[in-house]
Order: sequence, then C-alpha cells, then structure tokens
Amino acid sequence: MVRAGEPLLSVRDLAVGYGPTEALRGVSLELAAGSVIAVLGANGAGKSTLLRAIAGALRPRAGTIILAGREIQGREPHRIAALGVAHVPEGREPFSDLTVRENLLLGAYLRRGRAAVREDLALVERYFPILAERARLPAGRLSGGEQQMLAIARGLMARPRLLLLDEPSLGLAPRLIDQIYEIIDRIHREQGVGIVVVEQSAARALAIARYGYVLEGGRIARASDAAALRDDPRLAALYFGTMPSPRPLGVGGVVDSRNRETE
Amino acid sequence: MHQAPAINRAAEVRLFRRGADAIPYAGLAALAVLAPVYLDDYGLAQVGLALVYAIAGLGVVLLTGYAGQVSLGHAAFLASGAYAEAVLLAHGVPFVVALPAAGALAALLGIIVGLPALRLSGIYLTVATLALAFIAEEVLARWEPVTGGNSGLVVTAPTMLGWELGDERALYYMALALFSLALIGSANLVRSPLGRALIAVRDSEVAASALGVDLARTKLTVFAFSAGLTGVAGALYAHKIAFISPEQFTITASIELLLIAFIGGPGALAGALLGAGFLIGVPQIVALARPLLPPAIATQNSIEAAVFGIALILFIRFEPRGLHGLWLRARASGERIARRRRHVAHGERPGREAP
Repeated sequence: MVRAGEPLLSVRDLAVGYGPTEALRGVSLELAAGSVIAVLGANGAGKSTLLRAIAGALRPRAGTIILAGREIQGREPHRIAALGVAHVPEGREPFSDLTVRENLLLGAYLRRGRAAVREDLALVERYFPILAERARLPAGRLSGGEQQMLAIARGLMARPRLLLLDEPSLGLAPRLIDQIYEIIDRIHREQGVGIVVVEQSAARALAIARYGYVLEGGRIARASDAAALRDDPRLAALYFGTMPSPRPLGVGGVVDSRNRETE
Repeated sequence: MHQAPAINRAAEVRLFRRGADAIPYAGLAALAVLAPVYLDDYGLAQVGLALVYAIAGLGVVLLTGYAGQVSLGHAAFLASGAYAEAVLLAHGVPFVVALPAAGALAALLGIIVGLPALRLSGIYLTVATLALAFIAEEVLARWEPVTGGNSGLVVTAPTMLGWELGDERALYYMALALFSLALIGSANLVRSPLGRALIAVRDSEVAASALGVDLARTKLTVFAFSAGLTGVAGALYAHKIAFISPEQFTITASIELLLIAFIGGPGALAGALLGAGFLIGVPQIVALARPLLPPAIATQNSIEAAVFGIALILFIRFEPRGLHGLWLRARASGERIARRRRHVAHGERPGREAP
C-alpha cells in the first residue's frame, strides 16, 4: 500500500541506453498516488523509452524506479505488471486474431475471481461502449481509434494502480483525441488510478495532468505545474504544433503531422 | 511476429457455436468408430497411421500456429517417445505405464531443450531445435546398448489387461482414442487463459508481457505440451511399424510434421487431422495414379515430394489457412447458397439471416 505522502512512482537518476547510444540520462520524476503527470517531448526525446523502462521492457543502466516504496528497476515485465502497473504501449499492439472481448480478458490475465473480472468488463465497456458493440469482432478489424480504446481498456482490466499511456493520440483525428482524453480524465477521477501519459502533441495531455515534464535529448529539460507549461509560449512554439488555443471548430482541425490514419 | 495466419477465434471460444455445428463432427466420429466395418486391414492401418501423425500434428499446430514458435526438432520428440516405448516394454514395463512415460519423457526433453532456447526469441528456438534433431539422430545411432544402433529395435506388441493389442483393428482404436483425448485436451487448452496467452505472445510479446504474461514460462509450457503429444505419437508409431531405427527419425520427420501443420492449417486444431490425412493420403493416391501417368513421370520415385512441395507453395501463396481454410470457404459458400434458396423460397429480402 502507498503510505500517506509517499509518491506512487518515483524515478531517480534513470539512465537507459540502446547499445552505445544513450536514450535517457539522469531522469527523475515523481507521481503522487491518484495523480496524473504528462511527459512531453519531440519525437526521439526518450518518452517511450522512459515508459518501457518503468514497465520493465527495458533494463535501465543506472538509477532507481520505486513503485509504492518498492524498487522495481530491472525486474521482468510480467512481474512489474503483477505489482499493478499497466503499460499501454505505443502502437496499441492489439492481439489482432483474438476478439475484442478476449483482448479485454487477457488484460485480466493475472487476476483470479471471475465475478470481479466480469464487473470490470462491464465497467470498461461503460467507458468505451463501442467495445461492447464490437465484442465478438477480431481486434484486427477495429479502426485506429477503437484499437486505442481497446488498448486502454485492456490495461484497465488489470485493475492497475499505475497506468502508463504511450501517445494515446497518435494518428487519430482531433475529435477522436478529445473523446479519448475525456475518457482518460474520467477514468482517473472515478478510479483513482495514477497515470503517466506520454505525448508529443501536448495540449490535451496538459489539460488533464497536474504536473508536466519536458524531455529533450534524453534529459528532463523542464518540470513544472501543468498550468505553467500550458501558458508557456516558448514550449508552445517548440512542441505544441497541435495546441489549439482557440480550439479549431468542426472540420479542418489541426491533425498530428505524423498522422497515419484518421479514424 | 505475424508469420502465423489468422485464426477464426470467435468460432473457437465455444466448442460449437450452434448445436447444428456438432452434427458433422458426430457424423465424422461415427464414421471413425465404424471404420473397421468398411475398411480392409490395409486401409485401416493407413487411417490409423494418419491418426498417429495427427496427434503429433496437434502438438505442432499448438506450438507453431497458436504460439508462433517453429521447431525443427520434433523428430527427436517422436524418437524419444518411440524408443522409450520400445525399451520400457522390452524391460517388462506394462503398456499402460510405458505409454504415458514415453510422452512424459518427450515433454521432459522439451523442457530441457526449451529452457535456454525459449528465453531468447524467434529464430533461436528454431536453431536450437535443429541442433537437437542432429544430436538425437547421432545418439540413436551410437547408443547401441539401448537403441540397438543402426540395426534398430523390434517393438513388442502392447498388451492391456491380458489382451494383446497388436492387430490393426486394436491399434486403430488405440490411435483413435488417443487422438480424441489429445484433441479434447488441446481444444480445452486453446480456450483457457493459457490458450489466449499463447496467441497474445504470438501477436505481440511486448503487449503480452505488459499484461503479466510470463513469456518464457508460457512458451515453455506449450513447447513441453507439444513435445509430449509428439512423444505419445512416437510411441504409437513404434507399435504401428513394430520396428524402429534411426533413419525414421531424421530431420525429414521434423519437416513432415511442420508440413502437416502448414498444409492442414496452422490456425486450427482440425488442421492437424487434415494435414495428417494429406501426408498419408498423397502416397496412396500417387501409387494408384502411377499406371495412368506418362512413363517419364511414372518412373520417378519422388513424385510425392514434388506434390508436397507444390501443395505447400500453393497454400502459402493462396490459402495460408491450409486445407482447413478451404473447408471454411466451402462451408461459407454453401451457407450462402442455402440462405439464398431459403430467401427465394420464402420471398424474403436477401442479405440477412432470419433470427
């Protein structure tokens, strides 16, 4: 259990590398229980690397990662998942041949107790009604937005205390991004899950986060209240290509430049 | 990652989607049980051999089609099952003990080989199993006191409760019973959380482990299960042939097992039976057709190999779901035609099935 005042997640001086290249250096951040933080940065700044290291998919070279008072760096991913960390990876990684419902059940892979799992299935299908409609469809047949919803819902099925979201807006149309962020915000408020959300297009992430970090070349370049980052014109110029200060109306909204598919 | 073809999972969550789906299977079961009535000993022996291969085929389908791992060493599991059976029976161990022991030994060998190899991903398992295949071949030839070396071993007929089960009919029923057990066991495995985890590992190792799936353990479990099934098939094979020697368990045998999965349909358990039927049936058909072929072709002695090769290429190119995929297509178009007829007969609007 997290003791009062103790952060849910605390990363200290984390260094991660791929071969000779150093992807992260001296990265430290903190997440209070039930809070949301945003990690922002350009493509290649090390955002996904950070999430992968926390989730155990990458072994850090140095530094500590403490989850609720317990050091977890270097443990295998399935062990970290068992401690209550749900990593929703970049690209959503649906299990294409399994049905939507089976994908969701895999989210609860480590859980025993069918009744509670059924309840949570009903819960995530309340958040994402489209997944109930598509329950018997193979996940590979879903649209990009639906796959993103499935990935988040699958993570929730583990009943995590920490949800790691890797670019939930990637390749989606603005209307869909709004919808997904609205649901992420609701999940956070209603379920009390701690969330680390990594984004390149930062406006929406900062809208739900309490605190934000900016990664640049593998280092933390800025750390500050989300509100302060939101109002910082320099950051807006640097990263927030999609920052819709006056929100675009209707059709013709700004789309992420790396848009792969629109819906 | 995605080399394995799509699986029609929705249809497999429940054993049968509708009661009506069970009818063809019940018919097939009846045909199988009554086979000795309408088949002579030779035909029965061939169908029985196909069932034996189908047991190993189930193991390969689970490992390759479901979990996405490729083994070139399954001949070694086939051999360990066959030799364990022969040696145990020769030492007076009762058949009811020897057969499960043969399967268990193969599974154990699978764990020993898989333990280091499965911690790595993809190609490493394939290479490690290739090494296993060559080592096994060598051991069979050299470990003469136990295996009889290149002169092989004669396999004593199995007895159960004082009955000798060496004739074709008894062997056929034994193969049928064990295949049915293996099929039911595999079908339950596929529908269990472990079964979903296998497919998850195949589709995305990152996502699977992020959900708490222990990659190494999951792969090792299916590898051991697959090796065990192949070991049981090896034991039955030993009885069918009644004589075993190293040249029956070369890498060719491993490739034949892969062929069963890829021609039958790696994404469905039924593919194991269809593929095994193909493997056993083609040489029969070639033998029958030989007098009809032009002499230049009829005198070739590798027509079977050519048929397998061409079939494999055609399936990979045009129907990666194998024979099972062809069956699914045939069934779908049959249903479409039936529906259209019904609609025409009732004067309904076509396109949607009445509830």
